[in-house]
Amino acid sequence: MADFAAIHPLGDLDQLQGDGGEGISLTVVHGFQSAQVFAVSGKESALANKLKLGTTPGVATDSRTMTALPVSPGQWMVFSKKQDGAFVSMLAKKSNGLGHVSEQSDSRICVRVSGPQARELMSRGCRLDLHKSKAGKGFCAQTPTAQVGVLLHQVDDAAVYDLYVYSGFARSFWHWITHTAEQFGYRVNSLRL
Amino acid sequence: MHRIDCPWCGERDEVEFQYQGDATKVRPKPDASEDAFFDYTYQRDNPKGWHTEWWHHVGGCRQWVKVVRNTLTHEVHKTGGPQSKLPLPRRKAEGGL
Amino acid sequence: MTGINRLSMGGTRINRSKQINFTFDGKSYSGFEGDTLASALLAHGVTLMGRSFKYHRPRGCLTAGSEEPNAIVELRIGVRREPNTRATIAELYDGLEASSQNRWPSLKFDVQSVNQLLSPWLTAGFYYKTFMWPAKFWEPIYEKIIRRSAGLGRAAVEADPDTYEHSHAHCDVLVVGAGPAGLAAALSAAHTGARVMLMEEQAAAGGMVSTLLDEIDGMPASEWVDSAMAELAAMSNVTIMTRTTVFGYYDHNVLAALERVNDHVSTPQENQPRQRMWTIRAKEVVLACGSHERALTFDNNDMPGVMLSCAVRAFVERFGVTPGKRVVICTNNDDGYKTALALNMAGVDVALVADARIGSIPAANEVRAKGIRVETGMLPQKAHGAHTTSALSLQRADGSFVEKIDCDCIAVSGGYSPDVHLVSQTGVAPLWDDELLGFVPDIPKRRERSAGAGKGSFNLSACLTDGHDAGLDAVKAAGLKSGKASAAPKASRVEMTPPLAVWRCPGNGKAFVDFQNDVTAKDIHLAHQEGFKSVEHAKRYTTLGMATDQGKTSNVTGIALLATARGEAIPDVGTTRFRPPYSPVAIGAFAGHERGMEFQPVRRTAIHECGEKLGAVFVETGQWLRPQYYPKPGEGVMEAIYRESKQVRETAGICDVSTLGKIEIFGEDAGEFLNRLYINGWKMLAPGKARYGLMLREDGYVFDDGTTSRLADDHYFMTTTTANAARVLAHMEHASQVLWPDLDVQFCSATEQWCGVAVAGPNARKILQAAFYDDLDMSDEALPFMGVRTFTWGGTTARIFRISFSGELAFEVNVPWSMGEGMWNAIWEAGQDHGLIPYGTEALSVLRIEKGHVAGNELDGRTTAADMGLGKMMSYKKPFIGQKMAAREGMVDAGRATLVGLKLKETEGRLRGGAHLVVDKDNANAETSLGWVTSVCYSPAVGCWIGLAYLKGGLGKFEGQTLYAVNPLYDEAPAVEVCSAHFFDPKGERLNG
Ligand SMILES: [Zn+2]
Repeated sequence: MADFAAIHPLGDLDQLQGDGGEGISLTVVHGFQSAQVFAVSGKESALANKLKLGTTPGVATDSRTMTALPVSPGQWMVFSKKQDGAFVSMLAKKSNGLGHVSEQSDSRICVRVSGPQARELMSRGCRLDLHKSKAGKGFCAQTPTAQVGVLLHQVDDAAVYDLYVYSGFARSFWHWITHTAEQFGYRVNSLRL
Repeated sequence: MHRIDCPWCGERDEVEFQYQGDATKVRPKPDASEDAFFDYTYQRDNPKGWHTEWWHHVGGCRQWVKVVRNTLTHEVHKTGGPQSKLPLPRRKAEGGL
Repeated sequence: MTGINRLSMGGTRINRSKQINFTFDGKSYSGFEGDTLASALLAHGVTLMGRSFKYHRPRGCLTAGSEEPNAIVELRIGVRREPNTRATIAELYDGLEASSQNRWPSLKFDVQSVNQLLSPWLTAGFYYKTFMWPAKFWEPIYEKIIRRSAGLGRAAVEADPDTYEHSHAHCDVLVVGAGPAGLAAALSAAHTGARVMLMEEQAAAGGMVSTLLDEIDGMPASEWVDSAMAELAAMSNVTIMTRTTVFGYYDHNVLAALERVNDHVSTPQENQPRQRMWTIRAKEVVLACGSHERALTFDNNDMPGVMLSCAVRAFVERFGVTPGKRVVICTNNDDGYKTALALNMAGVDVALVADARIGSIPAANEVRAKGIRVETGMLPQKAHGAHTTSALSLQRADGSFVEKIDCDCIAVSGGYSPDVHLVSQTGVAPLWDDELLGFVPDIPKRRERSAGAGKGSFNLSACLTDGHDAGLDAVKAAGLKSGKASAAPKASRVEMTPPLAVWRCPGNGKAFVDFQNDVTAKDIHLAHQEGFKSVEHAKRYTTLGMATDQGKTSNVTGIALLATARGEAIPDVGTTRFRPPYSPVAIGAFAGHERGMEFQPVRRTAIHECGEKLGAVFVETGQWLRPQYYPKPGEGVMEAIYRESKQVRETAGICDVSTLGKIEIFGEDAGEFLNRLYINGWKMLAPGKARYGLMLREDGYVFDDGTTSRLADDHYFMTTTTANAARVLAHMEHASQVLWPDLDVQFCSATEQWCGVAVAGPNARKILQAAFYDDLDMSDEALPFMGVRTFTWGGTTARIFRISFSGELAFEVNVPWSMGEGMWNAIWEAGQDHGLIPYGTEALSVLRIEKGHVAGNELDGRTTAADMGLGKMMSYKKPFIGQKMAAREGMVDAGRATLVGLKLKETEGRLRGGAHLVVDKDNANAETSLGWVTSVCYSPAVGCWIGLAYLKGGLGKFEGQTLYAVNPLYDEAPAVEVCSAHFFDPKGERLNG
């Protein structure tokens, strides 16, 4: 019978290795579900209220079960906090009449960047000002990093960033970020939600 | 390098945008004349000074951003969403131009 | 002591306890840690460091900094060889191998210096004049002569082994330059809490302060510099970067800087880049770039041993090295006296200070008091010596000889030019200051202000106040609170006497203005005589200021001489505009990571490795990698394509189609939206059905095509071509945001959510039924042609589309990315009993050409729907983008080239894309061309080479006729028969299996 195992765009995550350095920690977070949620025209605030989605650009909303990143007027990328096969259909059900839901669970990988030199590493490719006076916990943005489009979410007041990268670019992005992290030394982990 | 203030994302580098040309052109109604469509499709002024342009924020929120920009000095006067009305400033650009 | 000219004391930048060994032109020397190559060579009495560009005259270093025009050397050997490096900023490291440039066979004896005898040829405009000689001599003769006789360095031949990277920064205040003004600015700004970046080109701060003479806040200047740096370094809101040159000032206060991370070591430390390019977005900028001293223009002023006054002082103070044992100082301003005092304190013999000025000069008195001889109203006439200076003749302003004096070093000062490069880059034309004799910054156009010597404040006390005020002004302009300002650092004010304009000391010999490009005073005169009167013309004609030093030491003198020739004032002549980069930047630094594997990102599909395992050869399609064909052992490209395309029609094939653009569309008005995007109608499409759609651009030409399915009443799923995916999405965003915001439609890309395969061929249904056996009813009733179904497979949602690009019974199946490999494996296993093979983009293309389906080659942006034979798809019941323009006269002209098929009539040879179709192959030209071939393949189904083409008059005029497909590139003109593009199964019977 066929092999039904889900394959991560970075391949076998156990095979990914750092160089033992301590400057940067790269954690491949996986097992989450996600969807792009759109409001029906004119129902933006009704949908935001119903799903408890924040509407301030650049500010994530975090709940016990999900993280919502506003990506455009009336549009959010929503991520589950744990593996939940019913997450997207739950969103669709709740948004009925107010919005639409496009499943995107497989379209992006998540690389969590942390460690004492995380902010410096980010400056090598990210054009945004991630200084602590400008970006704290909950900061989010879509922006190209190196040459790859990234949806960035700062998950802590310290410099800890979840970088969501399109699956097709996963290996290229991984190549860039590990190459860049070599100057700081880096470790690699994976985290299954 | 330009820095463009996207109404949704805030100030971003020029490389995140795709320049999409003249934003003063309004698409004619479907039943308008061929001449009206010809004008909409092909006829462009090339003003020296203030101009209203489209900068599509492809690297960010993917909004079509309207930008009032000085083609001579590159100064950006104002930006707005796709349906915003942005009058040209009466003043000269910074640097007296 | 390392070297005969090393002083026993002093040298703020060197560490005398650490000796460093290096070689220059193969000879071994030693210096100290902190030395530059120039200071270490001077310490050994080596003044000859290079040969000049055109005349191959012996040259030593003129300066002690990055503005150096003469001492240009090659560093390192082999793959890390780097030409055109200035010895004055090359930091010494153990094992440094340096060599001189522009000399053959040796620096001391250079045969090319006969160029000096040919110098009448090599005067102003020698490039232009040379190239005006008969054209046939250019390449074989003149170019060789010029290349050998004039040139700067040799690049390494091999790939650069080092890495470079980019980095991004943001700050409230960027301070450029860490001299006294820059330090004062950084301090005052930083004390307010603003985010400050301080960038300094050199390895150490301090700029032009004299460590022997100057005092700041009651302490020796060097001590103050160290304490200021320490204070700044301790502040969390300050970033200090040394060895970092701000080289570009761009729009919107974005600046670029080059950080030389590892240039001061032989090989970069492991995992470290050699250089890092910074893009800085600064709210406000303080330019404290300092000034450049000018030389005096007199005969033989390029002799090794002739050096700028400030450079002599810098070598003594920073490196504990004297450039000579007996020094004569020639000056037109107070700087010469400063150097005299510093040399005197260091115990070096100052034979004479010759000042061009007359009258009361307070600075002279202090020097005389030390017992040093000072003469006023005296100018240098001519330097004497073979390879290095041995004496100087002096004269009065009227040219009368006074005396010849023995010396091995001549320190010259022709005044100071504020460094206005970065200001000039912002488009500000500098202003001439007649008292300072230099160009100073005019009113800013960007958010910047100048401070210190860079704006013409040559007095140390003024520099400090200036810098302090500029720092506070920047904070205020940035809209930040300045709080309680700290006090400005203080130095005692020195009474200064203005400089005297001396642009050419009388003489008839070679007096150089631009040392790097060998431009003499005479050249500038000649350029003017020949009509090059505009400063921009004269610059290009003489090449003044066009070398790697950007004329830092020469521009003002050049302009002044041009003004003299024109009989005008300097402000009327104006100055040329400086452009980035301020100093040379390696191409590798601009590229950063973006080379080799990281040149551009690569997109891989979910089943990339499935293709790899089966031996796929991949092709780049945009950024995607797609299997192009799957050669079997011993099989060539053509054989593999032939086998794959034949086998699909006989049994079945599987192809990765994940790269097609996929867009999910929602909303009540989604159908109306599609109606306006596509030329055909969409409102009647039932849920569960797919339809082929064609989009036009607003100008009426075909934009893209693809299949779009209706998954639910308000949910559509669009596919685009791989190449146009991003453009179609942008087009739709324009339509929904700009044109019709009133429509309720929402959409997003889902390209990477789904992995897609096409399974095509008579056995396709059998194979898929076996793969998805109990999850899906594949019967014709349940899944008719153009039917779409969503089903659950392996616990996830899958979508199956019965659509066909090949003309065979075919399906496209989409599953979420992570399940792609599982799906491929399931289908692959199920297909083993049914002759399933993998096929790539080449076979895919063969199959669609055989069916006459258009693809990228036919969608070239110049064709209408009717040109493709799809004119009937255009609905007249609804408006759509491009409709009006598609109806214009030229767009519907009956004579337009339309799509036809071609069959090669000859048994030998082949068809090629791009060939032009003509009736008479002996009269093939642009006028007789009837059209062009777009796609070709060898067709297993037809049994010959076939192609698609656009042909004026089309099938109606030429069906069955013979034309010639002319391809001058290959010198081919095979005969072809014009036929219908539907080569194979024109009735479409095979779609049913
Ligand atoms: Zn934006």
